[in-house]
Amino acid sequence: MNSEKSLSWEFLKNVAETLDSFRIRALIDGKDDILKAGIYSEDQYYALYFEMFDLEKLKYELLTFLKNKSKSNFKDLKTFTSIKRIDLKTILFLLTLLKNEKLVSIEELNEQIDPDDEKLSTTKLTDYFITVNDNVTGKTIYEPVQVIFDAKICSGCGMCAGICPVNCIEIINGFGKVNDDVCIRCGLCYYVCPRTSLPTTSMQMIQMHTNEIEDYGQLGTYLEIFSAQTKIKDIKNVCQDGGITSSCLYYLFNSKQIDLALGATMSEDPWRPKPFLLGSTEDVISSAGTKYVNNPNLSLLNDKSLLDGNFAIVGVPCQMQALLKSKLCRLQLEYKYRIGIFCMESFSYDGFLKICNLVDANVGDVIKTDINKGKFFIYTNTGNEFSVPIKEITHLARPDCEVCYDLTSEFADISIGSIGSPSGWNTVIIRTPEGKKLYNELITNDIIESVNYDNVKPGLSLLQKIARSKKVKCQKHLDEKRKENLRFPSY
Amino acid sequence: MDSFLKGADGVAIISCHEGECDYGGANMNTNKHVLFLKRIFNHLGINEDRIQQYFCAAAEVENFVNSVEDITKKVRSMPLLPKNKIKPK
Repeated sequence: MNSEKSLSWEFLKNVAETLDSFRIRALIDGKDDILKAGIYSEDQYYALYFEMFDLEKLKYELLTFLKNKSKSNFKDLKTFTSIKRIDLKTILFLLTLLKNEKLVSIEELNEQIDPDDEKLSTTKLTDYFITVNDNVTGKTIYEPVQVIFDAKICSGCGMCAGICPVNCIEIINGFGKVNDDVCIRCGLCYYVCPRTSLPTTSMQMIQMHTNEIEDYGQLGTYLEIFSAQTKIKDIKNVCQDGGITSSCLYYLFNSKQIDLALGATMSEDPWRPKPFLLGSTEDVISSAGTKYVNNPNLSLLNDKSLLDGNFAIVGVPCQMQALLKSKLCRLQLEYKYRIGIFCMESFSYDGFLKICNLVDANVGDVIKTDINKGKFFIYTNTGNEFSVPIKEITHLARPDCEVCYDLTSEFADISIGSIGSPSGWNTVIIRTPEGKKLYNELITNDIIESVNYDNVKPGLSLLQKIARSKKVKCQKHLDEKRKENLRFPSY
Repeated sequence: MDSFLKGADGVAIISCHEGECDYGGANMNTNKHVLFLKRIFNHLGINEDRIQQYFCAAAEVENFVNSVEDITKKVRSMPLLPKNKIKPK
C-alpha cells in the first residue's frame, strides 16, 4: 500500500484515466443490478472490481511509460516489469489490450525456426517495436459479445454466459444471444472471450511458469506425451477410444480430490449434448464417449456449487483458451484440473442431424459416433455401421471452427485425444506439473496402462502434421476475413 | 478526480438533502459515487476524507459554513497532494 507522501502526480493522473474507463464505470453504475442478479455477493463484487481496477490502472501506467519514449522495444518492457515487479506475461497481455484499443502500434519481429522437417517450421517472437498513437481521442467501449456472435466467429464455449455478472447471455444451439435490456455493458464478456483476441504468448508463459518467450512448436508447450488405455472395465465398455478422460474423473472422484466436474452429457433430444455437472463416478460412466456436437460447458461456471473451486473441467480447445485467458484477466476462478480434448472441428446439432440423414441413420438409434482415418462413423443399436468421408461433411461443421488454430488443447493441464495412437488407445499430452501429478497417480493406482509415445505408430509425426494442417487452415481463413474486412480473432 | 489533478487537496460536494433534489435523485446518485470513490481511495492508500459530501439546503447558511470549515480543517491536517509541474513557456 502506498503512503500518501510517495504519490506522484502521474499516479493521480492514471487513477483518473482508469476511473474514466467505460469498463470500470459500467461496473460502478451496474452495482445494484449485479447484486440483484445474485451471481456475485457484495464481497465478491468488490474483489472483482478492484482486480479490474488494478489491471486497468496498470494498463494506463504502461501507456504513460511508453509515452515517455518515442519508440520502445522489448528491453523497455522488461525495464517496466522490473520497476513494477510484475510478470512479463501480464505486461504482454496489457500490451495486446492497448494494441486492440489502437492506443499503440506494435511491429513484431519474428524469427523463423526450422526443425529437421521443413514442413513443421514455426516462428518465434524476438522483439517488438512499439509506438504510441497520440491522436486518439475518447475511450474504447468494450462491446457486449453480440458482435462476436454476429460475425459468426463465436466458438460456443460458453465462457461469456458463465462470467456475465447479470446473467444476460444465453447460448442456444451453440449460438449466443445477449439480452440488451438486462446487459450493463461492463464488457467482461468481450474481455474474456477467446475469439476477440487471444494473448497466446502470455498464455504459454503461464502454462510453463516461465518469464521467457520460447518456441512452442506445433503442439504448444508440453512436458511429456504418452499413449494410454484404461484398465477399468466399466469405462472400457462405454468409452470412445482409450477412456482416459473418464478414468481421470473416475480416479479424482474416488480419491475425493474433486467434488464436481464440468462436462457434457446427452440431453432429452438424442445426441444433443448439454452442459452438465458430474457429481459421482456413475455420472462419469453415463456421460462417457465423444459428442461431436458443440456444447457450451463453461456457461455453468456461475453455478453456486462451484464456488469452492473443488472441481475439474473437461472441454475442447476453445474452452481451455477461455479458461486460461480469464486467469490472465484476473477473474478469480478457482478450479483444480483442466482436462482438454483434441478437437478438429465440431458440428452444430442441425449439422449432425444432416449427417445422420446423409447416411440414412435414425438419430434415435445411434449409439456411438467416431472419426477415424478420414471417415465419420456412425454405429446404431441395430448393429449397423455407417460411414461417410470427412471431406463430404466438412461443410456441415460449424463455420466458427474455421478460425480456430488449436487442435491439441494447448492450454489444458492434460490433453487427451486419439490421433497418433492405435485403435483403443488414447494420446495423452501432459502440459503442466498438475497434469503430470494426476497422470502419475493414475499409473501408480493401476487405473491406466501407459506406453511411451515414441514406440507408438504412427505417433508424433502424424499428430504434428495434423496439428499443423489445422493451423494452416485457420491462417487461410483469417487472411480471407482480413481481406474482406470482416471481424476476425487476433491470436 | 479532475479537481485533484488540477491541484486540489480535498473536494467538498455540497448538495441538497435527500429527496429535495430538483433533478430527481442526482444528489443520492452522487452520494453513491462518492462512497465508491472513498472505497477506491482506501484501496489506493489515499485518505478517504479528502472527498466529502455534505447535505445542506440553500437557506441553511450555518450548515454550509460548518461543512466548509469541517473539510478545510481535515484537509489542512493532511500532507499536500502532488501537483502537476507546469513547464514554463
